[in-house]
Amino acid sequence: MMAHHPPRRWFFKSNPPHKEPASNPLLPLSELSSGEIATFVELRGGRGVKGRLTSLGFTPGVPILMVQNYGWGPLIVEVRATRVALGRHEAERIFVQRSQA
Amino acid sequence: MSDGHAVNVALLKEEQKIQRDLPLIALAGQPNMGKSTLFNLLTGLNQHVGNWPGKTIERREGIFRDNGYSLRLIDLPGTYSLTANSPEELIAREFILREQPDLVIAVVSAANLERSLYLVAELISLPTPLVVALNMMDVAELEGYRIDVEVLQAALGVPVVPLVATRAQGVRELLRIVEQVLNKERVLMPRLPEIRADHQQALREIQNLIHGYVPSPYPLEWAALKLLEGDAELTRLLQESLPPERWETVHKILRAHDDALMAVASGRYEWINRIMRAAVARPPMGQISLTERIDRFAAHPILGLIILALVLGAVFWVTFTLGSPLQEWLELQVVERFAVFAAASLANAPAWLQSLVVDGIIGGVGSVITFLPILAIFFAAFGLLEDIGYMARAAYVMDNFMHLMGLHGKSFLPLFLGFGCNVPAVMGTRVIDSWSARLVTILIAPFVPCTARMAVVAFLAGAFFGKYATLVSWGLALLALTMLVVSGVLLNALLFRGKRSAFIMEMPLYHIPNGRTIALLVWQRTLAFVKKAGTVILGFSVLVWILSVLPGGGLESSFLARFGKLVEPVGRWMGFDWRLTVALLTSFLAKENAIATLGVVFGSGEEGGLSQVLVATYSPAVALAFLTATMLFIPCAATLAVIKQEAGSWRWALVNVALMLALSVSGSSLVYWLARGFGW
Repeated sequence: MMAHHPPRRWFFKSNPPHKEPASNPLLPLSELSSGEIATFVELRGGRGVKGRLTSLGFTPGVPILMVQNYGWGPLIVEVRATRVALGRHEAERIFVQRSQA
Repeated sequence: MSDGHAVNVALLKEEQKIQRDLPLIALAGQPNMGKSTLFNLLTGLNQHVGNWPGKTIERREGIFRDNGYSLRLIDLPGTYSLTANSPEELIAREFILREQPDLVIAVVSAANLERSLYLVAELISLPTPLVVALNMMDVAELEGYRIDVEVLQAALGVPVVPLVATRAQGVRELLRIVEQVLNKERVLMPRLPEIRADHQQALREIQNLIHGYVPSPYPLEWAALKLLEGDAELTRLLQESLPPERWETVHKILRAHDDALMAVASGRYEWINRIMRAAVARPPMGQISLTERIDRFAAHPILGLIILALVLGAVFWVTFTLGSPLQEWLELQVVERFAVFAAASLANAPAWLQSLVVDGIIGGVGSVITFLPILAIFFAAFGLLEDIGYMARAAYVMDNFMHLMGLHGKSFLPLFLGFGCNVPAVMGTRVIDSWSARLVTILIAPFVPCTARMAVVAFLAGAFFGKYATLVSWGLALLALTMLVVSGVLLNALLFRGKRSAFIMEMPLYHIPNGRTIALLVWQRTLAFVKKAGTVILGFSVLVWILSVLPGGGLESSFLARFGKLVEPVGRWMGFDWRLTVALLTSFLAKENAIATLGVVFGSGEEGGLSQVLVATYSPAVALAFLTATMLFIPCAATLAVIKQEAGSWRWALVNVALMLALSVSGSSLVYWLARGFGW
């Protein structure tokens, strides 16, 4: 598992750092802030989107690094050493668990 | 003449027969793996670009020749997998299964091995022999990956050849291995990935159930796996071929395992990870790559837009600074000289023939030729941005804005191409993966003010509005873009009820551009434009010429003028007389023709003289209305032809014509009455 390295982007920062909750609930990918890492759990979406995301490397258990998320508009994640841009709508349907520190 | 033609056809057929007998190699790979670079390297200009049958997806085929040794190569569309998620994926797998090439070369990136092996995991399970081309070894080294090629080869059970396609390194070795495999001097022992353990039972059951019912050429095990993956095409085929009660049983198993797609994919990634652990030493985590550094600016929601605006501004500046003088030079030194020469050599020929050649043919072809430098420079700038990987960032930062029209970021790229010329813009919509988004983009692309329309605006605005000319030009361009957005919103709401398509796009690593790749891209795009626009414009310019001279007795009594007078009542709404109406109509041929036609009907070829005559004849209100109409008028003939080609039917081309006609007539009338109201 990749180490959690906190973002140190004074100018580019938009979201305040999240606090790790005690339990580890499912949350939409779109709620991660830049620099956070989470584990892919499931995808709620149509077959087409599922197929495309799967072939890009989104499978259960894979770590996802949120590269860029400004809280609105599309976002960028890194999965299996590949950078993928996702629309916010798509990211809201991908469910992840924050990695335990 | 006809004999020579017959001989040529015979030779061509002979050539085709020889080509069919050559070993057939298919290049497969995911996008951004350098597959096309390798294809270009092997075939050079010895390639044919067409479409896959019934599809508007580029099909590239070429011949590799070296020392009497020849291969036929097919560049399959770039695909992430072989499941029928997209037309590209369907084409790639149907080609491999149906045409049965002698060998498939899978192009993978050493810098992105984990994901690129996913396609290999699919290809290796097919019956066709496989060779893996491990491209981008240089990038992998830079990023800190160390790959043991021997171990990788042993783990896969098929040959692996390291390669740097951009520097032509490793190609000899690749060809040597290909030859060995073709000559059966090398036995392949592929090691296949397996589905995750919890679904193996289901896979076996399905295999037993569909045994004997799988239509050829699909292998049994493969078909069973695709069913589990939920592949729409295979599901349809088997539902047709299986007896209903047997299909019910299969369907029940599939429903009980509706997460099987993940199990199959996980199985493939487990296979990949086993191989990676053995063969690859990864770089230490946490080092910030060049791509990440650049993306902090280029993909920033605000800075990114500013950078995009600067980049686009630079593209226009370069295009016009370099292109406009070239265009003028071609106009004066080549086209006009040729016209004078043709007129002189036809001095003794009948006047109609002279007029046909000079006004009809040279005029039409000339407008295409003089347009080429601007277009080629624009394509080169575009190709450069594409090749270094910037275009994905442009699409990313524009995504929010494009959502207004139910489109996403990818639609921005073809629309931008439209500022050069609408023809490549419509063809460029092929990058958009969903049909609804693509169709909307095709239909709104002609609203982008192309260089030809801007030339008309520049001339007339300069003549009528003096120091306000720039303001008027900008205002008109803005009007056209506003209409583009409005139409996009409306079309999306009407045709697709506001449906939005998913935005999923790989952001490739930035890399150093490859001159050869860009040069070939410019060459192919320009050639495609010349073929399309050249033939359409030539045909129409001859047609318009005929209408302007028949039935004889001068332009005023020609069919063209009669038609102009027939629709003049509509022109009146916008303040036009028959001459302006005809000028607007002939802009259908090519937008810049509006000026040329006015030149003809006012009998003054000289542009300087023409602007004075026009200012003396028409009020500023009429001029403004005419410019508005020109800006929004129906697409030119060449654009219309590609709309039909890309959208697949005349229906959509007509929808586009109706939309633009309505907007240009109503918009222009409104502008005319408003301007009159202001007392212009």
